[in-house]
Amino acid sequence: MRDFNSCEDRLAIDGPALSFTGVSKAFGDGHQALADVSFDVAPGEFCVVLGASGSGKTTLLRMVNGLVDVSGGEIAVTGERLSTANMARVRRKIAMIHQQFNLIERLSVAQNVMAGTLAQQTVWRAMIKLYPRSVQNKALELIKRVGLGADHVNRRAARLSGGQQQRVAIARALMCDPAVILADEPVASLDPKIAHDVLGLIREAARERGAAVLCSLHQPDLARQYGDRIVALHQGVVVFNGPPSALSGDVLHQIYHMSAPAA
Amino acid sequence: MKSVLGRRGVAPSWSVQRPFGWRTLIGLVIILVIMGDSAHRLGLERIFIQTGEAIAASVGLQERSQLGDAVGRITGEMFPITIEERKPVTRIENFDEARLPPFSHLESVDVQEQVLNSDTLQLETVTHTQRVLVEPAGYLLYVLTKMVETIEIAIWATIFAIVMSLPLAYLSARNYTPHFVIYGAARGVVSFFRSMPELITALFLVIAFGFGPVAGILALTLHGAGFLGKFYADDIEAADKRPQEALQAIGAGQLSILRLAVIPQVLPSFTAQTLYLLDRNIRMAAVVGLVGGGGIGQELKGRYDLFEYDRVGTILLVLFITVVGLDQIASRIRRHLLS
Repeated sequence: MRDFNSCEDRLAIDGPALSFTGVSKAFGDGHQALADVSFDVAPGEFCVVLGASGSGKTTLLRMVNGLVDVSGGEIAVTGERLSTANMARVRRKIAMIHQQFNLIERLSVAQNVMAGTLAQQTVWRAMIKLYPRSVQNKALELIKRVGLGADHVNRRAARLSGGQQQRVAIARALMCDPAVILADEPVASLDPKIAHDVLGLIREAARERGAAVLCSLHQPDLARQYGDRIVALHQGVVVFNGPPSALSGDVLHQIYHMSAPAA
Repeated sequence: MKSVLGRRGVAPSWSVQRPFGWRTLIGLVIILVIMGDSAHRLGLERIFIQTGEAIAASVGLQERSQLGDAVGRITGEMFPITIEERKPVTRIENFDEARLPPFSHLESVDVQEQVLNSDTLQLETVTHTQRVLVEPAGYLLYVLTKMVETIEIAIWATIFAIVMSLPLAYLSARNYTPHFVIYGAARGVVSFFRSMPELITALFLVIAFGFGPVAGILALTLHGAGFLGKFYADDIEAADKRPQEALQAIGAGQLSILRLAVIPQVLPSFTAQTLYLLDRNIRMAAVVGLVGGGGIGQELKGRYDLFEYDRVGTILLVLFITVVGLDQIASRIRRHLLS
């Protein structure tokens, strides 16, 4: 239990929070989703994965927490190599924010946030939905941190607006003090103003805690504004990896407008 | 790369697919022929002939009809329904005139009896006076206690069915079962339970447990567990995958995911199905009573066999009012839970 509540140990790690080395993914139908992807994300860094639909962004993110199996290469989280054997332990260092928020709509905001610690709770606690006092307090603190009020705490998640639901999802993600936050198109279903609020919140909250963020986006302007670094994917291949300032029009043209080369 | 060729390897054409073809039509004709043959063998035409006659008779086109006569005879005997209970004092054990049941009184009635005169070997009519205890709402009260017993049977059967079906649903939900062999076995058990008609199960359980509510409760439980087990499992399989995936990504265990990301979502549907089972169990509790499963059905069967249709009328009326009333309550609960 102790090692989840003290981030100091983890932040002492000098190496990257997340690293991909020659990662590839081929689906059963022979479709090559990713090929030889290699890059690192440092603690506290906001790394944007930019790419058109079907470029492999989501697949890349979902491989980090084992929702999709890795076909080749290696993924390491805080220096620990991912495998089926240690998946349960590694998952506790990773949080995920989803495009459709993926909240439990019929449960309250507080219950949704506290569910972020489920991996550390006994089954019996989950059965009666009663969490330790420390978890409850932390959840309340995070609900406040993401900009929701006391009147939201015990309201059903389904009754919140899209932006508010995504804030709840962010609070849920922060509950387990993650070393890595995966954000899969977190603002794709939000309007532009709220998209800015949400991305800003993810960046700040992650920076405060020294968590690395791997965030997939398909809007270049948002990527430029919020990314500390941008990794651009085109048909499963990394075509750009660098700071936002170096992202050229040529790269954008390649990932969004160029027709596929003949196979 | 997507192939330019369509599904069957033919280049797609710029035309809207026809919604149905000649195969559908031939299929329809075959189904109609089979249904016609079946209807003829079962004598379904009598439905139309006899109802037609009854309608004709009721508007005066025809003297009388078989259906009208039967309905008229039964309703004639059922109404007025019996509410009071009359018992000859001589048939009451330890009768104490000083301590009558509340709201009851005694009446003296002249009773005529045919007696065989041993001297003349002729039947003679003898009149003698009999004292009768009259309870003005006695029979109605008795039927109501039997109705309460019936509701109790239904509620217990529903509770037992829920308890039995929850683990069965867990094991027979494709996405949560621990192993596909267990999945198959659990689905088999659920189907088996569901395929056993309550009335038949009750017949055998009455032999095992004797007449009374226990046999009725168990018969309803088995069928109900099969019913709920299937529907709970189907709900679990169809529940929104996204919240489940969110908890899976966090690293939550299967049971925790089931409890927190599935149960809250399927609860309205679970409740609706459980309330439907309760509603159905109340009606079926009356039916299993017919074969000795306790409750109002047992009383109904006894009175029906004695041709006491006025009492059958009381029972049916109470049953009808109860079912309608409980339906109102159930729909209110459902509305409350769904909001």
